[in-house]
Amino acid sequence: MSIIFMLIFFSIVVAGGFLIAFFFAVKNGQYEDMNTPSMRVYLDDEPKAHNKNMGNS
Amino acid sequence: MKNILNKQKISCSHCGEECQDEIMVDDKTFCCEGCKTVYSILNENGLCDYYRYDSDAINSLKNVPAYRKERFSYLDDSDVQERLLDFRSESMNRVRFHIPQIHCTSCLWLLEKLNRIDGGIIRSVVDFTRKEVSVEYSPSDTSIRAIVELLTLIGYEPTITLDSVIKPVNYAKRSLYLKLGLAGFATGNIMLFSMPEYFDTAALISPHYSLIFSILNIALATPVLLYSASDYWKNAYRALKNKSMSLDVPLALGIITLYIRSLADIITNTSPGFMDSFSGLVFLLLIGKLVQQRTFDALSFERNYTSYLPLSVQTIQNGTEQSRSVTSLNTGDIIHIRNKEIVPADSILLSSHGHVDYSFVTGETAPVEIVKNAKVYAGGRIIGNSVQLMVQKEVSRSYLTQLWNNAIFHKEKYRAFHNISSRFGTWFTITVIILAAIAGIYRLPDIQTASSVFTAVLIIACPCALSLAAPFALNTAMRMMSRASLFLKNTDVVLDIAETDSIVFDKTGTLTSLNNAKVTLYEGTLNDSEKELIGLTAQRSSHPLAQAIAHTLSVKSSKRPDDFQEIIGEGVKARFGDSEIRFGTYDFVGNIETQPYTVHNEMNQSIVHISINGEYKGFFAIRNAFRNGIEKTLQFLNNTFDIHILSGDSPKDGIYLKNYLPNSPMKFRQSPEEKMAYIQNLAVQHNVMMIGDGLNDAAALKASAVGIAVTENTAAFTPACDAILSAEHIETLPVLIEYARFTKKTIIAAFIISVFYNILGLWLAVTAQLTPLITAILMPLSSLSIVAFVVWTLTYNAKKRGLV
Repeated sequence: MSIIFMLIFFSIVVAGGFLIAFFFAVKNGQYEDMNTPSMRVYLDDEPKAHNKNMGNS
Repeated sequence: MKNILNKQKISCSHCGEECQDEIMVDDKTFCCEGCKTVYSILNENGLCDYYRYDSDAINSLKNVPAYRKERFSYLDDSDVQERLLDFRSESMNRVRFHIPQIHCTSCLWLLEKLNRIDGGIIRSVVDFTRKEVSVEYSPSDTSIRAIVELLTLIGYEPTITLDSVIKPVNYAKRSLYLKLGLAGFATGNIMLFSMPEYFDTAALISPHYSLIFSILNIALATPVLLYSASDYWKNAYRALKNKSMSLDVPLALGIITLYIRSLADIITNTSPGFMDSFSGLVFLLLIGKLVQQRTFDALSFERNYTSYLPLSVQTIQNGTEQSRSVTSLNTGDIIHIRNKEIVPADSILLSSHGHVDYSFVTGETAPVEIVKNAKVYAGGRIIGNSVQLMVQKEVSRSYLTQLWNNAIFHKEKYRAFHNISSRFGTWFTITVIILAAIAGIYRLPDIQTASSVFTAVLIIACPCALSLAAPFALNTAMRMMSRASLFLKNTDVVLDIAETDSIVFDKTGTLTSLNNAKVTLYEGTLNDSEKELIGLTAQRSSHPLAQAIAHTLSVKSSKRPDDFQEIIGEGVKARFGDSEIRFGTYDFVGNIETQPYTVHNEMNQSIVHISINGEYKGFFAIRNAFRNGIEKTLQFLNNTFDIHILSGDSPKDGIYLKNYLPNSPMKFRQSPEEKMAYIQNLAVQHNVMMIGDGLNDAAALKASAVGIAVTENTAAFTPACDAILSAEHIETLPVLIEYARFTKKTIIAAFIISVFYNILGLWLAVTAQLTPLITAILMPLSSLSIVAFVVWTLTYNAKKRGLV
């Protein structure tokens, strides 16, 4: 039964890790602009490639 | 020449508009130099992917005035830089610009690739909703001026105005997220540790497990009490200090009692405590707070004159042009204002004539003609030829800007929501404390039961459901109204709209629309080719009357006049091959001795005469039209509200309005201060809604309970206000007010339901049946069912009223 101590300890550590990650994200300003990142997904970056075909493929 | 004639339609490789003068580069065609420049820059830097994303929607540079090198010299000034910079260090500076042209994925893509064009730029990040770009650059390699010039060159000229574009980070919202995150974390974990208690299996495991669970629960709940719920302590303390109640007082009382009772129970080992309910309650309350803070980031409700006046202006000193900060302008300075630039201070015209568009100030879109020595007011936009002006008053003391020195701009509006909340909070708190005391005294000889019942009543009567119902109701109402193009500054405004009993309209621009200026009559005869030529001529003029004619004839042709001339105050003449078209005043169109058609000179209509090759062809009568459906709206509103008309204009449209509003007070030729005083006077006895549009209404909008700015384009201009209404939806105003009233009724209904829940809980508490499990179920269930009730009711009702 004392394995429960371990499990509780782990669950608190993991959940606490997520809480810290969330705090970091908020302080970093990731919740300031909820719209633009969703648009950025569509843009793929081809470094310095001169794209000759201007199609939308 | 032949080559051009053979081709049918060539569209510009940059902006996609039809080319008239063709400029060829790399077998690509461009409509103008501007577009060609952008293409060359992009091509050189391998950024032609720009055209892949949203090729139809790229900014055309056709109508952008020629780029002048000296225009941004003021950006080299260190004071100006200080104002603009967001962050400053040795190796990196950050500046944020508002760029109204941002509208598509291509813009986003290009603006985030600025570092490929200018190596000094470290990173640029776009905020699409606010139309802002934040640029980080190394000050040793590039400068603000170079960045602004680059942006201008590629068609994204930033708006740099007197109030700096930097929006402070919303720390209040950030801290709310943090508090919410902590409360959610604690709630989830406490519930997990309370599982054995819920299912009554605690007895199965050894007692020191439940001790550990209890200690963990206290450890998790304490930060929630100290940090997540901290706003409630502050608000309750402030309310008690000011001897005014708000709903936060009984909430704080409920939260603290719940915590202390749980702590006491755990320590004395009487029960495992209610820590799960405690943190869950705080979590739900914070969600309510978050919902109540809904705002529209894309819109600005706080703008004043500084948002429109430019940061700098070109001054002429000893014959040379210099750019100077507008705040340093003195009486007697000579300034040079170009097409589409804004006059920063009251001045006198030195040039022979010019045109000013006062739409920022009055909301009226027709440009006004001015002649030498005429007074030009700050906020006017020069249209057409550039002019020289002599400053008469400093910026802060100009006719328009001094309006903001009024005390009304320095106090917060009194919101109906706080009124309701404090009234309700007062009697609720008193009732709950009395009830708790009675229930406690009833059981008195037994101190333990008495205190347990006393605290249970305080806990269960905590107006949690109630304080969730209002934010969700208001948020839903705000969302539904935004679908009908009424955008509220914050959720509180819904209740202010519901309380309205008088409506004051600013006539100009609010009720009328120049886009609706209608050609009501044509006298004379024109054949199709003549119509075409007149339509084409009218299209080229920016005068609203010409625009109305162009709209009526709606000619679609790419023909261009060989010669075109606009004579201010008289009319327009254009030559197509050997036919000369003139329209304008009667004297202007030709030396015709007798006028073959009789002109009925009516109120609010303008006459435009036409001649072709000196032959009189008749006239158009154009009426300054009221917005679509406004007559019906006015009549409808007149039945329920006191309507007032307050206009800065001459009374000529009043006669027409009298037909619809026979008993309404109408005041004309009102100055901004007079408008404000009228509203203040009216507001003593009434809840006034002011509907206006220009900056000159700003004080009146502020003085009213609800100030609504009507605008043609929600992205464009609006003075500081409580709500922005799209002009074409003004006829839905009665429905919107009704809906706001319905929202208030829904909140009251939710209050009644929540009182029933509280009575049920009280019965459980008084009869000492309140176990942690029942609390854990009842508390969220009552809250969620009430939230579901208000959201569903208001959404359904909005659909029924046709708002969505």
